[in-house]
Amino acid sequence: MLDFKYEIDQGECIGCEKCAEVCPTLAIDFDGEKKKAFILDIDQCLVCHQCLEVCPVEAIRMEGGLWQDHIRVPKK
Amino acid sequence: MGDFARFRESRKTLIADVLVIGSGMAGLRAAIEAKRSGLDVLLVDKSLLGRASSSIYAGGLGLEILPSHLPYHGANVKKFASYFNGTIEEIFKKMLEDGVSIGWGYPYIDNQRILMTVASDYKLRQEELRDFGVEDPYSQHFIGRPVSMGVPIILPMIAHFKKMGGKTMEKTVITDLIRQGDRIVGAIGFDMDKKRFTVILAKATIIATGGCAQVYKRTYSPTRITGDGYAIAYRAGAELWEMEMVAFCNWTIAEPQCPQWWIPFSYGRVSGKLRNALGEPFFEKYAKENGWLGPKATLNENDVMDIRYGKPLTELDHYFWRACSMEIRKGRGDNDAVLLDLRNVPDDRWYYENDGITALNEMRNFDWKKKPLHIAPGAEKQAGGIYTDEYFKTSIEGLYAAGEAGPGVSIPFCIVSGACSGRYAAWYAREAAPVELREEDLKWIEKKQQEARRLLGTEPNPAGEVRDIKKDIKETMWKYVGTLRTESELREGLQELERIENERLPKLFARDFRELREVYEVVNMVLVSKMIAESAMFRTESRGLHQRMDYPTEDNLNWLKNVILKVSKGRMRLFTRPVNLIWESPE
Repeated sequence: MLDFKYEIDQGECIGCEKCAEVCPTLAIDFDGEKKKAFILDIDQCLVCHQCLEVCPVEAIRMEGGLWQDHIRVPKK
Repeated sequence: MGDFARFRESRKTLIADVLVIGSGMAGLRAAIEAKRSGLDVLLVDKSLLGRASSSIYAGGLGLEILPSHLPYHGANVKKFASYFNGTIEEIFKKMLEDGVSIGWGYPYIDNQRILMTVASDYKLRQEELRDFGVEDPYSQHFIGRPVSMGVPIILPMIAHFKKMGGKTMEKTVITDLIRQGDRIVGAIGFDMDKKRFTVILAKATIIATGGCAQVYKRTYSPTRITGDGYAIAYRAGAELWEMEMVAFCNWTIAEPQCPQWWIPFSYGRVSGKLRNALGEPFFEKYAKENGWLGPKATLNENDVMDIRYGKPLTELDHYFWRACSMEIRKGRGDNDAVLLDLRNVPDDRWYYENDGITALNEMRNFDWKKKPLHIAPGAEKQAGGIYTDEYFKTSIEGLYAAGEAGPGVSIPFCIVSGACSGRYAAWYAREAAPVELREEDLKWIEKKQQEARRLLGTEPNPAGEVRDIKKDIKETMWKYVGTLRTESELREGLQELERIENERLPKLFARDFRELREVYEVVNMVLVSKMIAESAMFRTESRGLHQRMDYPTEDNLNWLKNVILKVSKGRMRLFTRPVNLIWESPE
């Protein structure tokens, strides 16, 4: 049971692949046919925040877990 | 138009003075240094710039712990923090003899001139990071941060390089180097976004692609660390050295349904106890047998580890993975892991709020106060790599190597070798003749492009699924070429790798460009795995990171030599070269 939640909003995802590129553990993968990123295995999530940082449309949301104060979302 | 059809038509040729492959700490530093010479520098990465490197996850750039963090670390961890304190000669000697903690770990067979360069340049190079807009070059602490600790260092460096006028290309996979006679004149690959074949002509090329820890099942390296640099340099005919020297970190979490990550030097960890599946402590037994204990070891379970075993943690770490591996080998592990018992750690020794263990496990509702934690040695880094001289020039003209891809490893090595290789490559490029492709080069490029086309055009089939093959390689390497090695196992491992190479690799296919990258990665992984296994079989002694069960002692009489490998007539050829003991020799 995880006490944090990750979500990629499939409606907002623009298919830029960035989150899947930076994920160090393949917790996020990219569906080449649908052109959307999706969570492959959340158990592998390191909570490194890189996907949150690179997403250009803030389609990835995280709730709970530690280190909330450290999320560096780039300024628009 | 489909990927395949588009790919057939387009090829882009780019020209630069210096090409840097890989944008981790070493690649970035090399690119900045080369750009300082006023040349045209192109920085290429197979993923997003800097973001997929292991540098961005690497703690301990400063090897420095703030006073405010000290209470949360073991008593002697301060020694770790002060690794680079002392005179240059003292630091040099430390690195030569017990460089294990910062990743060299092959006593006395390193290039002493390179070690001297790192020892003398490191502090300057670290302080210099401020010039690139890094606010605090000493800021990579393990505690109280998300695990992407390198972000505040890597991102300003990328911005600085761009500001200097450096050119960058993301998601461009380099597959091979272009060789003209004895010189490398650039590289070929493909651009995943623009979906086209790419030819880059460069007077000098620097490989800074990082290590290959992903060839192991147990590892906490990021998923893109697949040893591409070693493979492309090998295919171009460059020499590699000491590929058997893979560093394993004992403190890798091996809990099911938890990512593999290392447990930092927190106070909690150093108070913990190692136990096997039966609940028995085992480290003391091996330590006594092998003489690993310091003279002042208390062996009192309640002391922190460095007092308990009488040696600094940096040194002990090298023995922990050996003891754990032996215990697992004897069948007393639990699912290929041992247990780190933290149940008795008193609260005042446990700064848990933001600690790595709790972070990953508490977020998974893992109660470390009730249950011991599974840990196992995990592949961390490759201490060997592309052979270079002290100018970071490889055995081929025009080709340089830096960082983990080069002849060393660790963040200090990355910034020093990055800066040096960038400078020397730029000097070379300034004097070098312009690059022109000959008829036979174009033919070779066309052939390579056809290979990529064929992969994109091949029908999907179960035997050729890249992720399955990757998994098989990782399992094979872990089973046969792991922490403790024997000749018979290495032989079996090699047979297994050859089976994968002959039966599975011809079936490879790529549905799209993302998969095409993985296809090249998997080809490189097989090649690098074979290099590790062959070198491990070749070195018939145990030294530092390379531990042979059938040759358990360090053999300074016969093995003060480097194991070099290169391709010769299509085959991997291994030979030795005596070490140049310039300043220091073992007793």
